[in-house]
This record gives sequence, structure tokens and C-alpha cells, in this order.
Amino acid sequence: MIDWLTTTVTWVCFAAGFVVLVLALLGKAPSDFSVGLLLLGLLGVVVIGGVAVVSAISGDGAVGDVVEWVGYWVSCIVVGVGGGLWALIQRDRWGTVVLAVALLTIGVMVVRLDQVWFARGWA
Amino acid sequence: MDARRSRRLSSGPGAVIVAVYGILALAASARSAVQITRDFSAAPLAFSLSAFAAVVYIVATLALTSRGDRGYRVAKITITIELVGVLLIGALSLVAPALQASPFGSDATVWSWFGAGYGFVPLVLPFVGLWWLRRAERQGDR
Repeated sequence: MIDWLTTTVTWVCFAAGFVVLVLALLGKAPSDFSVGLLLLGLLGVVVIGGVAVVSAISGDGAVGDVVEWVGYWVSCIVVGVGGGLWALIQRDRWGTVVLAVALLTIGVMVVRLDQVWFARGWA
Repeated sequence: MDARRSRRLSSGPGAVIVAVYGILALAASARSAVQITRDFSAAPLAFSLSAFAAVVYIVATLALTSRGDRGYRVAKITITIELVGVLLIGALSLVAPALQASPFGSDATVWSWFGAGYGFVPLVLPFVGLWWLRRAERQGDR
């Protein structure tokens, strides 16, 4: 698992999350731009998944708990897809807040993906 | 009347509350699924609490999105259980050795250390939820 990849995806998600939060504060409904930012975060998670599978096959698998890792990865996808669909239905500022919450949540879970992979934690 | 209230519970800012509940329901379910499938006997008390918390969050999320009086009442009950849970387990994790896992440890629950492992969202959310229900009630919605 590549360190810089998870770090990059985390910061992209956090940065995008705050941008979308600002759009929500401005009262904007979900737009192609804000939904696109969530898709960007999701794409990052998909790439992490691909890299993880390739690493595992090439013998450089997770040090930590694989089941827990997959749990976090699937949760990222569920939150991303769920938040995106929600924003398509709820076309007001609160739909935009949901997008921001999804992005920030994915950001935190990607940090956990890195920690669980290398079996290191916050505490 | 019923339809209008249910619409309000999950519309507007309520959507965000429901979304965060949904995420916590997912987080708690995933956590307890991993804990129970890995080795339930390692910490049966903590893992049972984990599963219980997951069920409470799932029911609260569904209640907040469902229609009518029943959804409202179930939401009120589950959110109250949640509040008691996070305060009780939070306090116990400070004193009881059996629950004294690290907030990020493999045998923690979402309520351990007042939900510190989840940015204290589990501590804040029941207050927000109850406030939201009261607000709906006060607005003549009830």
C-alpha cells in the first residue's frame, strides 16, 4: 500500500469537504461541481482498492487485519455512493451539507485504511 | 398531519441529522460485525454492547425517516437510549477495567470514552436529535 496515495486521497477529501461545506453555507444546492468533488473522492477510494489488491497479490499485503480493512473500504464506498444519490434527490442546501459530511467521513476513513493496513493506530 | 410531520423530521436540516445517523449506524454495524466474526470470546461484554449500539443506531435512523406518530415515538425512545448509552458507557470506560479499551482499540464500542474514536459525534448527536424532535413538536407539528 502506498503511503502517499492514502495521504493524497485524505487531503483531497478534506479539502473538497470544506469547499462543499462553504457552498452549503452560501445556500447552494448540489451541483455538478459539488457532486463531482464527491466522485473524485470516490475515485480515490477505488484506486486505493485497486492498489491494495495488486499489492496483496504481489506479496506486499496488509500488515494489519484484512477483514477490518475491507470493512472500512466498503464503508467508504457505501457512504460515497449513498451521499451522492442523496444529493441527487435532495436538491437544496441541506443536500450539499450531506455531500460535505460524506466527503469528510471518507477522509477520516481513508486515514483509518492507512492505519489498519500498517497495523498502527492513534493510540 | 402525520405525513407533514414525517416530511419535516427528515427534511431540511433533518436530512443532515438522518445522514449522520446513517453513517453512525453503518460504522457501528461494521465495527461490531468485525469484532464478532473475529473472536467474540475475546471481549463478550464490549462486543455485545457494540452490537447493541449498532441496532439502536439502525432503528433510530429508520425511525427518523419513517412516517407518522410511530416513527416519532420510536425515534424519541432510541435517541434517549443512545444518550443514556453514550453517557453510561463513556463513564464506565473511565472506571471499569472490562471496558477500559483504548477509544481506537479493537475491543472498543462506539460509545467508549464518550465516542472519542468517532470525534465525539456519538456524544453530540443524541442532543441534536432530541432538540430536533422537540423543535418539530413545538412547531405545532405534533
